[in-house]
Amino acid sequence: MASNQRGRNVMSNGNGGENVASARSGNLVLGGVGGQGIITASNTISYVCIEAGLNVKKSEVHGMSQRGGAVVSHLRYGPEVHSVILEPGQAEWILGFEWEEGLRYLEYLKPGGVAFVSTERRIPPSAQVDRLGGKINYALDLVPPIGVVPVDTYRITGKAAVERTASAQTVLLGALSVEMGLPVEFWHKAIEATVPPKTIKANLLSFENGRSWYEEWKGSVVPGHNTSSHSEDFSNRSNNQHRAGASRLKKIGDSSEAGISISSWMGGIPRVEIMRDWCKGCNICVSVCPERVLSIDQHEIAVVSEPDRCTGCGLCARLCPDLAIDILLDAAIGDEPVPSLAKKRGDSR
Amino acid sequence: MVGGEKRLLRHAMMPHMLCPGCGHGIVLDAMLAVLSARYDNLDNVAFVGGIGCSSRIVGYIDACTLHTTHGRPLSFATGLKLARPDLNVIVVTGDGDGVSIGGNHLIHAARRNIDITCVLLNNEIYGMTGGQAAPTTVPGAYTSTTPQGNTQHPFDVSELVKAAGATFVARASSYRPQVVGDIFGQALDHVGFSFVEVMTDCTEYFGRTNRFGDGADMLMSQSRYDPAIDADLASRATVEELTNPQPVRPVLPKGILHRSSRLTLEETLSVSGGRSSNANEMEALERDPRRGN
Amino acid sequence: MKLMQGNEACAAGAIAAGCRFFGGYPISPSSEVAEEMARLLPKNGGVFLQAEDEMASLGAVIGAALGGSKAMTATSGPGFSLMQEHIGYGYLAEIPCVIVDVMRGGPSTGLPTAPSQGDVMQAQWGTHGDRASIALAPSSVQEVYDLMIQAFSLSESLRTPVIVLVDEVVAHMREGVDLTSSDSASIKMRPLPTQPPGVSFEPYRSGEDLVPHVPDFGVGYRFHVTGLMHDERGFPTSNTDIAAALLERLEKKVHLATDLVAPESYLMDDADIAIVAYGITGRTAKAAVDVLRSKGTKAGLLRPRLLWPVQDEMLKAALANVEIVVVAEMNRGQWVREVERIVAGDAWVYPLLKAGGSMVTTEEVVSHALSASDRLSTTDGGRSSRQDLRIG
Repeated sequence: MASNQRGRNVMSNGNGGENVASARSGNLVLGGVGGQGIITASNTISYVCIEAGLNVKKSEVHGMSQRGGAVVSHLRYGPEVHSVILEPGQAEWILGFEWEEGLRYLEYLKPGGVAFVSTERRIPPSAQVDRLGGKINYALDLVPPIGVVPVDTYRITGKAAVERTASAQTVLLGALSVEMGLPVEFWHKAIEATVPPKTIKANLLSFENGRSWYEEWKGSVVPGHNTSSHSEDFSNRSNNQHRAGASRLKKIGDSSEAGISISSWMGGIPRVEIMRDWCKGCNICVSVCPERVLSIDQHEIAVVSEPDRCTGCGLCARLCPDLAIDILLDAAIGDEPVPSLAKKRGDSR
Repeated sequence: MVGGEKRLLRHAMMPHMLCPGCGHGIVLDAMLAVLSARYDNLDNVAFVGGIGCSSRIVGYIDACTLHTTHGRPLSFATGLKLARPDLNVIVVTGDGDGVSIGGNHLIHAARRNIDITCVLLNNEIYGMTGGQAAPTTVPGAYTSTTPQGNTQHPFDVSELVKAAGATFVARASSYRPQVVGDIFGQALDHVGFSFVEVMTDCTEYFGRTNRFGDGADMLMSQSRYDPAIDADLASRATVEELTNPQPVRPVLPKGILHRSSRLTLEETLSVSGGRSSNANEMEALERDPRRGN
Repeated sequence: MKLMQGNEACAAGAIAAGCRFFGGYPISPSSEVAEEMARLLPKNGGVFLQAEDEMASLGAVIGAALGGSKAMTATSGPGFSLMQEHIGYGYLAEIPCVIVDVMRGGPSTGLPTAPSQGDVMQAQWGTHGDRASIALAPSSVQEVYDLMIQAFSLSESLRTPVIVLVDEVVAHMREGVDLTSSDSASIKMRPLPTQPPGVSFEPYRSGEDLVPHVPDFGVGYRFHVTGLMHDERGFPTSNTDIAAALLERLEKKVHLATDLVAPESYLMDDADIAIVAYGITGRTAKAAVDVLRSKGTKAGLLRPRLLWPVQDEMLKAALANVEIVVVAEMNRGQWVREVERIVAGDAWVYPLLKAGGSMVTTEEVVSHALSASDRLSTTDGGRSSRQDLRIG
């Protein structure tokens, strides 16, 4: 398979290319899923840069973090930094904290840059293309892209990751530190300053594991097998690999821009109905709802606490083990009543 | 529920007896969603279950439902299907019911290629009897009969059934109910023995004993590794052993794992009909376009 | 008349009764039943399934019965043991089916293809829990044929598994069989549902006939069948009153069979000594009665064809005027306990028990009966006069 050669080729470019950032400046994109510690990691890197006496700027987009939503952070450092936002093709490094989220930002990678992408995958429950449910859209049919170093963060972190005493993602920082070339003691100091005190020891170990793994990995790569250019247009790829959350937002945004309300788009106003007698309060619906519509009441039964937020995506209904949730479409004022979401949709199954 | 599932439930029996967060309920809903799109009623659909948490879900479906003995639902279903080939016979079984006590029936049903659909809910433990180790329990996992951690090697159920001669073998997980539904629908369409293994979560025993959190936590953990990517990454020299160091869930291939075509048991019986088998008739049947040959 | 082996007659009787499904697993000495069914069923529009084991055999039979077929299996000792769970299932879920047990010596693998009547108690008590059994015991090839038809008739009309206990000797014996002996019009069918389908339909509701009118699968009714205690809707219940009532009804229902199968009674009218025997032993005993009569002893034969449920009233009446009851059977003493229970001290019960794989002979019955008679006349009838004869 060509993947081996392509994977190695990255490193040959990275080692010898003129595009590699100097130790004194660099651009990064960090992408992942809410709750993975992306913001913490970008803080850590910023601390390292500050410790090195450099100017650093970073941006964060973290909608629905903790809920499995997409999180991205741009980070730039150097003797002098003006703008924080990167344009495609400007990043020396990408840290992907989740497999698809990492691949998604490949368009930002500079030719010769390196994307450290965790092989951890968090596929959203039904990974719908749009809010009305449908096909799985996740990068399953992966052709290993140029520039990607897959990092099995869980395996490298080992026991600490399983016990949740350290973030598996600290491994990525360890690998990155080898490339960035700033003194290791700065990294140690930055980790101590940014992670929760109880986890400092484990995270430092995880960091060192990442460093040594990557150094070994680099040593094993044979340079210069494939001379294929690095100009592959990643933007085409990433367009097809939108994570459900992000594409959902886009879809709704598009609709509103065109002056279409959710109710006319879906054929009614979605309403979550919970059969209280059937619900056993397992909390699954509460955790999967991207809009935090649901909560558990004092009787340990799910209730609709924020009905207006519901977009009718149906995740709660499909994942309710008690079959206690129904999504109904209420008619918008003036419309005829609509009996059920599935009928309206003409469920293709 | 997002469709007509409610219509196919026995409301007098609800709420069901499964524990909070149990993945079996998600699979029940996914199956009913598929059936509700196909049938107005389930007069000609028979659900056959064995003994165990998984098998109990047949009782909540408003169809012809047969709750049999431990491990034997496939044998009941075989007799029923042979007596009434026009019925759509669906067996719901579990890992203990289907591959431990009923393992023999499973491989023989696959070998005979009887035209029934078998859905095996694999939660890697005996739930109903109190969380004992199953033949599918991953090594290291704690159960009430493996207090020091399981030391036995588990079955790869889908591979077992494939090797036994099933003509349709697929695996899905309760985390993605639409995929469960999609595969279940294809299994119903398949002519011959169709086997669907669904990985589900036992929250009360497997989850609690192994400290995997509640139903929501376990559900999320199912999404963490996906074998399609693992297989791809494993092909690279630089990434070794892409398995999780701890047995949170075994990394198993999912999707439709095997599909082939040969005559079903009913067809061979009706074609041979006591006479010597008619080669032309057999051949014509095997070329039936429904099989996708 | 047609010369047939007992096992062949078993298959022929099943086909005549309308059996259209056989699920079985090879085991001596019953294998010929399966072989014959494999030949006959496809010709008659039925299905033969060689299952992977005996659990699967009876499981498939129950499945086929729910699909509307008259269905049966045939097995022998070890296989009969494996089937016990499903016999219990068929009883509780009220599934009509026929189980032929060609008895061989046991326990365990025991004495394949040697005769025994060792499964008599197992036919009643083999499964766990309280179950009332219907078990028939033919003594000739003709009777195998006739009782198979009656077995299906009982099974279908009462919706319960019926066991046919065939002696190995009868199964492998060849005799002339009159295939027109049973009137096919007399074969009873399972009762059809009278309620319309719907949410209020109760498949397990029964009237005065005690038999629920459970429909077959796929005829427009949706309902639940379970091996759990269930209510009249068929849904599982742990209500102890409902469970108790269900067990009571099932037992009463099975006891309806007591009036439906007549025993053979030979020279019993003036008998002082009754010889009670069933199956092939009944034929030995009949010969012994003739010998005893020729010696001036007033002996008679009572040969039940229905071993379970025990026909208490009939036996009590038939044995009311005898002084001595000789019970001959090929085991270590099984059905004799039932006779003792019924006679209850009104007559002396002298068991003639022979286990180990050989048949009870005429001479053994004659000498045991004479010896019993002698002892009774020389003592005052104390308990000590009882004498068991155990051979083997």
